[in-house]
Amino acid sequence: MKVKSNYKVHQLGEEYIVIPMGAQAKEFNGMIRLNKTGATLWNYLEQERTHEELVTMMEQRYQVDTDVLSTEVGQFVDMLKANDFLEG
Amino acid sequence: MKITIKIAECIIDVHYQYEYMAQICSGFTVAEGSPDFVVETNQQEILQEYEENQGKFNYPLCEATCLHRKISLKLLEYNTFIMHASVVQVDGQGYGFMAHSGVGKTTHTRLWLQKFGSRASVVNGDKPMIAYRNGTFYAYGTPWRGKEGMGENAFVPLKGLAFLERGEENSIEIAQWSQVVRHIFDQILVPKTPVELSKQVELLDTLLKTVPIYKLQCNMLPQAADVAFARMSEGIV
Repeated sequence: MKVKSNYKVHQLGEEYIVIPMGAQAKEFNGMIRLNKTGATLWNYLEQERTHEELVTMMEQRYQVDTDVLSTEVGQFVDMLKANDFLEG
Repeated sequence: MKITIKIAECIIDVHYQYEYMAQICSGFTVAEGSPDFVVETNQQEILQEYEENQGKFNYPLCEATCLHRKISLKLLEYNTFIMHASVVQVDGQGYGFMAHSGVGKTTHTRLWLQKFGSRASVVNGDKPMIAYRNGTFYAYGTPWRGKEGMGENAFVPLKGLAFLERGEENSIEIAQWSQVVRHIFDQILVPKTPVELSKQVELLDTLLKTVPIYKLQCNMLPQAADVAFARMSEGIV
């Protein structure tokens, strides 16, 4: 999976935001806000990744229990799917 | 037809069809010279604007809106962007108010004018340009002065910005960063290309770190201006 290329994470102070661009902008009213972890995951997802790859990358970065990470990565990906942020 | 105008220190050649554009720009014209950039629109864009607004605005107004948008996006290259706000100056310092339509930006602006009399004037009541110049943000007047037509061809350093909310009592506090981020995109023209969007976010980031942003809860009584001015004129403390 991979995020659509017309979405990009911007940093505004301590906040991370995603603002849609191009053709999609008309259908999307507003922006989404991410925390630091979400922004990290989003940046990883700018390239094609599997769920396992994401969990491994997050594990190396945050040293959190694998099961916890796996659940959280799953929830994040569900949110991306629900908002139609993923390609394909 | 063509006019040359100066907005936020930029010289702009504007090609237009409807006299309305020349009328609203009348206080901003300068002698023809070498422009920083040129803007024009065409019938197709005007029609599109007309249809997007379900015919609520006539063609001359739609043309002015199209040209306004083009100028605003182009000005990003000059560290300048449009903000939907009312900016009033008192003793040469600019105070900006942002709110959704109908909350009372204009009413609050009038309270400041009443309070300060000849010490105050409206730089722009609807769509000033916010420009970053040598470490300072300035608010510049523009030809787009909203339905009340409040504004002048002037600029002032921006002392503070406030999000207006209606309240029973008057109170003001520094807005939390997360609140500002949530609301500020409603008050700017969000660009649709990656380069422009990055530039806009970068300017906003600098703005939020440079100019204090407040949350102002206010009623429509004269004390609202007292409370707002007392805090906003202090600046960063």
